[in-house]
Amino acid sequence: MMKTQTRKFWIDSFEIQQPDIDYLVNVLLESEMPLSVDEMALLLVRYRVRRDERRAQRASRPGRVYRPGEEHDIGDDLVFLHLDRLRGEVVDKREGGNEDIGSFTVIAVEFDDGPTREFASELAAAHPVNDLEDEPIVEEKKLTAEEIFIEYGGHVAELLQAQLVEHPDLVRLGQYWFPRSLLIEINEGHLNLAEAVLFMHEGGPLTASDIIEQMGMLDDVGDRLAEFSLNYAMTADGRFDEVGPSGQVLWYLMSQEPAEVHEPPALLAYEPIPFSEGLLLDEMWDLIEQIGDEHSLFEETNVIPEEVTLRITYPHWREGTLPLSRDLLKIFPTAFQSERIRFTLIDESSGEEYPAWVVRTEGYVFGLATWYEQYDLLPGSIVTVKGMDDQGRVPLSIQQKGTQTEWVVTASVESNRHLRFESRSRKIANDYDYLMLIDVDDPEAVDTLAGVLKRRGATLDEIVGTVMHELTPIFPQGNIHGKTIYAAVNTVYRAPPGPIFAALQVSSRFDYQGGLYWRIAESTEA
Amino acid sequence: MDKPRVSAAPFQATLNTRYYIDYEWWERSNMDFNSQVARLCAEFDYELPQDRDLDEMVDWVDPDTAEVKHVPLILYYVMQHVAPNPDFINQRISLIDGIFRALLEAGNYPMTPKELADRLNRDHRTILKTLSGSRIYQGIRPIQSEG
Repeated sequence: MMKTQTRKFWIDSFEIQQPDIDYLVNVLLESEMPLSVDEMALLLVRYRVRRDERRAQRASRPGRVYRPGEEHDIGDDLVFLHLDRLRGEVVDKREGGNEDIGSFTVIAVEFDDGPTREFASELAAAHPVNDLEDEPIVEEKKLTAEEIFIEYGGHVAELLQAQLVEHPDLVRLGQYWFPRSLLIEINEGHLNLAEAVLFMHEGGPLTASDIIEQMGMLDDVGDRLAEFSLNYAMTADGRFDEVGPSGQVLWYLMSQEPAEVHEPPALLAYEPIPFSEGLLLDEMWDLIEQIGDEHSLFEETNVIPEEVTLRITYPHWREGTLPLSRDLLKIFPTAFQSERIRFTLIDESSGEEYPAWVVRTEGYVFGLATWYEQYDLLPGSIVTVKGMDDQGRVPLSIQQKGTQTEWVVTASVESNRHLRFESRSRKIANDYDYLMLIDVDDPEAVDTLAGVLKRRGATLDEIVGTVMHELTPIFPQGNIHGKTIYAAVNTVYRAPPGPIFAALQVSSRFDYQGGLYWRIAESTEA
Repeated sequence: MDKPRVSAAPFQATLNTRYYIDYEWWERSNMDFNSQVARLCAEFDYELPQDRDLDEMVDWVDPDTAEVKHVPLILYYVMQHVAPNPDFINQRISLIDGIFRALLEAGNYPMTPKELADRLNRDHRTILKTLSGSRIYQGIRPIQSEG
């Protein structure tokens, strides 16, 4: 069977060789067209399959089987059964030199692909290759190069990408590659025009194709080459920010981007808090995963969820953001190229669209303030985000229900310096997580207090102590759920649940009651 | 085997770069390659013959494929009598020792990081990183003419 017909070849043995790269570079040079790594992977699979077919055709011709015990002459056409029926021609012959073996000759054999190799001939000693049987070749139904690509193309593209990166004559932009020497010249005038076009569109986002069309230039070269060259030039110019999701190049004027996508909003700023992971029980880790704080670290999974349900915490509610949890990150295209991704959120209920940004490095999605306000959401509200629709929009929704009056934990600030929690009635019209629902009496006062605590160097232990003390009278028997503690702490102090639960576990002031509830220890109460 | 060409120009090794043991490096470093190999043979209770010129070139015939490698006699002895020991390459020796032994076993026919990784059951990127640093270990150098 041809080796390119086997899984073993593509997965275990296949590696990119210099002739492969040379072939692809020649294709790029001849076509003068940028190609994506996937397109090149398909070309490469076709190239390898063709080469293998030629080799197989040669091998299937009747030929003399190589046996080291026999005599061979220059010009002999040999089939090497034990080397996957490789076929080669004897191009040289010399006397063998090894007194342990005795008299024999060495033949040099030239193969179709690969270097010339030497083999023993007229070998007197027994050798297993002498005894191999030539079995007739059975014609089997063969997979086409395209079918092979569907099966193994991803793996080939991955290996190819790693090799192309090391090729200094090729430049890459997004998914596309092109020889540096063939790029068309984009001058300062072109770039100034591109800036003006983006400025007229309130900063962007626009594709290179949109920009070229409005510039009215570069129409004397192929579309793909013009776009690639402009994209490449814009990448090197600090005025432009590439904000497209994976595989899509979109441009925005850096100066027109919201400040919140360059610096995390104040309430989201988080200084990592080390904690002893051994203090947490399995059920606490499950809760941490369920909460989905963007600063909780979890192993990567390959599962792409159809939708992600999130509970908004106070800092995100206040800043109009969503936490970019592990699951939410999967909703967005997986192989991000850009630090900031501009996309459109669509309200599933009203169809209204909202411009938004994924700020990958800082772990949040920005641009939901108007939407939160429109539905009068509270921290603790449940929001559902679905995968991108066919128009590249990300649907989000809340579950609305009839307006009900609920008792809600409400945060306030007393005498400008004390955080207080009490239970107050409030009308709510959407689905929420009761354990995380927290209303805030005067957000500005709470934020001011958070700033004061930060400047004073308040510790997480201290904040957890205050929160437990303040929440205890609200809950029966003073048992408070971990989610509530997490939500309450985050009104004034940004911390993921891991360090908060560890602070509760390590302190003798608190007792764990099981079922994810903590309470103030009796000795402390007394 | 032709002697690989070595140049002093800056060189960027890749996963396709082939590596070999440069005997001249051993000479320049005032170290004795043959003594090093003799110590390795002794580890496997094999004593190199004293009455032969160990630098003499001989043909080794692969017992599985009948492929011939033209190697110095000292490597022939390693390939014939020491390398077949199942413990010759194992996970307890250092990465560099493993690479050195794999090259000896192959008659010092140059090998890529991928080929070395397959033989040693180690990560090919780690091998490339180790061999492409500024320091040369045990004379193991790239063939620069191949890129």
